[in-house]
Amino acid sequence: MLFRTALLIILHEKEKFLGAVVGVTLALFLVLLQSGFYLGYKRDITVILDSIDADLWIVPKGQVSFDGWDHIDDLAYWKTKGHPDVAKCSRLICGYAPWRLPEGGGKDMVQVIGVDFESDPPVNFEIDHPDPASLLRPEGNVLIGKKDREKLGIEELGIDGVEIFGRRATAVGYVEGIHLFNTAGFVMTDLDNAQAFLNLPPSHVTYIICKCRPTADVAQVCEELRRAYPEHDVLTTETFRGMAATYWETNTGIGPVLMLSAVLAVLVGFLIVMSTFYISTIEKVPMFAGLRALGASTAEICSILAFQVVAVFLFGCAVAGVSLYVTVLCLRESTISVEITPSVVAMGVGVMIACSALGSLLSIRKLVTTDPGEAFRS
Amino acid sequence: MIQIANQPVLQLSQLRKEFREPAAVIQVLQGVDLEVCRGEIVVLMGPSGSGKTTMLQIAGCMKRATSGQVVVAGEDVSTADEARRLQARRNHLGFVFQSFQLVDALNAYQNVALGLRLKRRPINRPDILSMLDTLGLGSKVHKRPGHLSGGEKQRIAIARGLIGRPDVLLADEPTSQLDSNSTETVSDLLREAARRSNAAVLLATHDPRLTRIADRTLVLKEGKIDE
Repeated sequence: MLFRTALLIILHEKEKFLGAVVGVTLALFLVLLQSGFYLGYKRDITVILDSIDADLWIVPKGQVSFDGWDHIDDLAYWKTKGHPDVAKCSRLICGYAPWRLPEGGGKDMVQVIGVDFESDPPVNFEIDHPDPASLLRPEGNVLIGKKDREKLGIEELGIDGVEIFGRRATAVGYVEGIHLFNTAGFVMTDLDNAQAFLNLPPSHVTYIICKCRPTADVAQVCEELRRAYPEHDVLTTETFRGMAATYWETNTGIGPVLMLSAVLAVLVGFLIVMSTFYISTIEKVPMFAGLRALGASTAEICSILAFQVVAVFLFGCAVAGVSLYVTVLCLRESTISVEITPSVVAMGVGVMIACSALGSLLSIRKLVTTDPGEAFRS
Repeated sequence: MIQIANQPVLQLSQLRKEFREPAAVIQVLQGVDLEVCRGEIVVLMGPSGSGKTTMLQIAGCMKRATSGQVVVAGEDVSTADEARRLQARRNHLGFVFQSFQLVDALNAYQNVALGLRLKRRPINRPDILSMLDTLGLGSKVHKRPGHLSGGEKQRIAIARGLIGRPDVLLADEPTSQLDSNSTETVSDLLREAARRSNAAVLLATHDPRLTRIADRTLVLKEGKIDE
């Protein structure tokens, strides 16, 4: 009957209940969304690295992120190909170039990725064509990130009219799922086209990527390659990925900003929940004192509040979940990246459980110390 | 426990209560002796600050006296711990408060049923309806306090106080928020319901109109009782 009483109190005080639900919803929604933006941003930083199934990267000396401007000659590629523990070895070009919009429009910056299709590259880009190598072989042919279509002014594939670094280019297909964190458009082509677009000297590339044999000790191969190419850096994918993420998070400061926003969202939600519960409790102190006088135990009185806290929490989670789902759906086709993982949801819910529990502590303390004799006074 | 009709169910002996404040010690009760028998209605009058409410709080096992003895239905609760005093409230005592202290979200029936639930008694619907009917609330069973007058609210509170058939009903200013018509109705109904329940009633009030339902009227003055 006490739970029924608690439920009836909620129904009787719908406005206060909705106020608390809004607090939980707002806090959880903002925490999850900010965390989702943060993870989406992190994913975008390493999206190209994550699309390449390599174990080792031979990179220009001092390279700290994937988006470097330096390049190396491909001599190491030919040598590494013969290494007994290397199953696949490929060349990769990466660089930035101005993209002139069709029909004499303005310029925008694009990241050009050149893939060495002749070497069976360990790349996993989602390309909507069965044979990208032949598609990109003609001079000037490129694929563009599907999300960048509008930004790059491409309304129809196969139409001339764009230029990369002053060279004619033709968008002939799309790459799905790639969006760069730095707002540059994504352009992919083969090695020769990329060298031309970026004005690289012949035989120069940005990276040499290696996939080791399953039986190989990657760390040992890495060490051997380091000794073999002291003029370059040799990094495992994990190390390179970590360096790239740290470099951009530190330099842009966007990671701490997003996390600070999430913390502020928690704080706001916590204060709303705490104040709503506390004000509601204070208003009902005479009623609770009366119930204690009539024979209610402290646990029973607290259970009424606990029921309300749990109800607010569950409703808040449900509303936040639906709102978040709709928001993520709306953002799916946009250039804003958001990644909500099960662990992010678990973290958000855990934070809100803690907030609701902490938010109700003051109220519980007030209830525990309520003197039943107050029922006579008020 | 078998109760003999005229045996006191509430006994206060040499009750003293003092509140210590930084500047002084305030003596609120200074040796109060009182016995109330089953079926008896005792009206306790006195000016504001005379200690009426404090006396009810001590008799109601909510506060401890500084010294003296409180016996409720044969059980000495003077030095009982909180758990025993809670049990005494559940088993032997009923309350009617000045501000009703009803749960606004519950209707009249549910408020009275909650009183039974808190006393760990089975909820007997016919008993509750009969009690509400006795108090003239037969047609207001499903009304919530927000839709009732002050007199009706107080009658729900009286029903809630008496529904568990307490040995003692303690009422604090039960008519202070009522108009004169309601005061007369509520006091008559209180007397009738208390008689039916055979409860001892200790009623603290400023209102001299309540003395007409009293078997005894006492005046609390300067912490002592004048009969």
